[in-house]
Amino acid sequence: MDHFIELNDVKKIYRMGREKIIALNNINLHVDRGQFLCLLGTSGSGKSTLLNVMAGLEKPTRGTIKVRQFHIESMSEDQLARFRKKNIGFVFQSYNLMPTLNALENVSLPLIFSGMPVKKREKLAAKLLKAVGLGDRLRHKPQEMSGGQQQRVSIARAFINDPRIIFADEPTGNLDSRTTSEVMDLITGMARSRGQTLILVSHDPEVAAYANTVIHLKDGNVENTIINGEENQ
Amino acid sequence: MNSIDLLQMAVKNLMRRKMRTFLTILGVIIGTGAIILMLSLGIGMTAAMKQSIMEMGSINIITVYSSGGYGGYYSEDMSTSTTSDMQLDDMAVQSFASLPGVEAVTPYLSRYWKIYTKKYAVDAEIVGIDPTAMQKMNFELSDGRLLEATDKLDLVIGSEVKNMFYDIRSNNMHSHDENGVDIDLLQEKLKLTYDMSYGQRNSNSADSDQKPAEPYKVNAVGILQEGNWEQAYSVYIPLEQMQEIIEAEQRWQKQGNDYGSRNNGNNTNEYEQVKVKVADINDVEQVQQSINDMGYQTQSLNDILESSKKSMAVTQAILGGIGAVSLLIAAIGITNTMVMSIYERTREIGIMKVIGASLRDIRRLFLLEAALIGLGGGAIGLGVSYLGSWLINYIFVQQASHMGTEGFSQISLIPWWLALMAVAFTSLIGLIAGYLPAVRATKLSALEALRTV
Repeated sequence: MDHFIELNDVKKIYRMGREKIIALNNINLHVDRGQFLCLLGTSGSGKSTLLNVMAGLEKPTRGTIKVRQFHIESMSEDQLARFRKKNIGFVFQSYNLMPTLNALENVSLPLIFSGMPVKKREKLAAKLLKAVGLGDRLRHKPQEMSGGQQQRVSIARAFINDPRIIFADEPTGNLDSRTTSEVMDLITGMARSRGQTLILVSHDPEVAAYANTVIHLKDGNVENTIINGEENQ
Repeated sequence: MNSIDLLQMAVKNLMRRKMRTFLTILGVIIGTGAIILMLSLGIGMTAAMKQSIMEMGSINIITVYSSGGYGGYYSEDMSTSTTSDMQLDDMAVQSFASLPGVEAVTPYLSRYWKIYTKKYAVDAEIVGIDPTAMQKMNFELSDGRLLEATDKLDLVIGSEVKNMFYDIRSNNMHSHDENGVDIDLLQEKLKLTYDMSYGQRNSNSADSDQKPAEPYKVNAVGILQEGNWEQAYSVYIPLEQMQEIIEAEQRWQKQGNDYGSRNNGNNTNEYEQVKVKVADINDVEQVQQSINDMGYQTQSLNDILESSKKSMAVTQAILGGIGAVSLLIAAIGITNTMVMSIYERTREIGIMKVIGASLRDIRRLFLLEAALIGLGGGAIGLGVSYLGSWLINYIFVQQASHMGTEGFSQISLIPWWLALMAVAFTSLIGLIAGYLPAVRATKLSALEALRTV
């Protein structure tokens, strides 16, 4: 059976001067539709590289990445841009909001690139901002909001084009524990209710506990895979 | 990404660094102003020159001389050099008329004769002209009408002729009143005579065997407008009448043994000059060349115009070059600003890429920002140029009136095409200047850009 996302022998090697750093060493994995996958590992384990490669932000040195029927590794930059616009939403550790735009504009930015008219897209954005609990902060600029609020804006932005997959790179890395659980509840709840696939990178086992599949990475290798609390060999 | 969003985003980005944007635009304003003002001086000077040449006569009229005599109305050569020269006769007139581009042709048959009223007289060049062609020969009237085909002894009088009348009794043709004599030529009963001794008869009794010539009663039907010096001093009469009068003069001269046998052109079908009017100014050179090739001598103001145009083109190129240098510096300023802007916004470019901006969107955004700087600077620069041009003209007119050289009202001229081209050009410069930075922006790796703090 074809999986929603399939990685075969993915290798990523960085060259630092003469030294070769193997960030990913022949990774094979698959993700099914609607799954919540957490890539868990310490700093330098290759978890972020794996996410970037899956999202098409980085090219693998070797191997294939198939999302639906598309081969991510052989797409051109323009094809990737179009693919991301349609299929992928991103949430980052440092939020990555546009500092000059207010919450409403930040959330509707992906729709601007798809050419949606202003009224329609701002209506959608306002609806999503209400859903993440920022209905009263529509016109606030990022620097006028707390970290948790900014991350909610970025979550709303990730969901605005109704993507099939949400990639989240340490979404709670800059947040305190109370906000962490709020943000995690929000992001998992939204993804689940929409049937979206969520792939999340973290070093925090508490965050990993939200996922139904946890892949433990160490030095570029998959150390173990835990599905619904049970180790899978 | 649709165009309105793109424009909004570009303007917003430019407004973020108001000071820098303003300074960059200022560079473009100065560049545009310099190039427009420099070119406007060249254009204004060319126009002034053209105007002064136009005042000498009509630019699209070629004067043809028979190959013997060049330009001399009373050249003795005319009658003597009849060897194998091309004659300016009716045949020649026909052949000129059949040249492509020629609108009208008329012979000029002229004599220096006298016109007088009861009190005043004038010695003037009387020109026989084809009345049907006269309409097309760039004559402009201040009063009355031009000659018509049915006219007989009717005259159209040059603008300066009126001022040349002198009192018959004063007997001194050089003591003209500055304002001319007080006569209305269109109303006055005029007489025309080839007897130049008219009015001096009393003192000139030596010519006893000469019968006084019978004068012709003539009738002025039109006065020409000032401003064309070639026509101002002549009096025009239908060609056929002119020929008849010349024949009468010749008979009269044979009768009395007139001392001055002014037999310029024994045959009244042979002309000193033929004027050829060319419909389109651009054809003048070609028509002139074909007439030259037939063996005639020609002259036209176009010759002068062309040669002075060439020298003006050099002046204009130098002036334009000076302006172009400052615009080039402005273009470098735009590039600099855009490169700086991309450094500052590296992270934003990364974000836009990750959330779905295509390379085209990013390229268009940065190109548009650069073009807007060019367009804005160009438009304001154009306004500044109009102001500068007005100022230059104002000062120039004041200076000119001090020096007593009036006539040219402006030395700096901005035609609409220059205004339009300047703004289009600066926008283009902005696009070109922004191209490199824009490509650079598209080449940024999204991931690298995101990692930039």
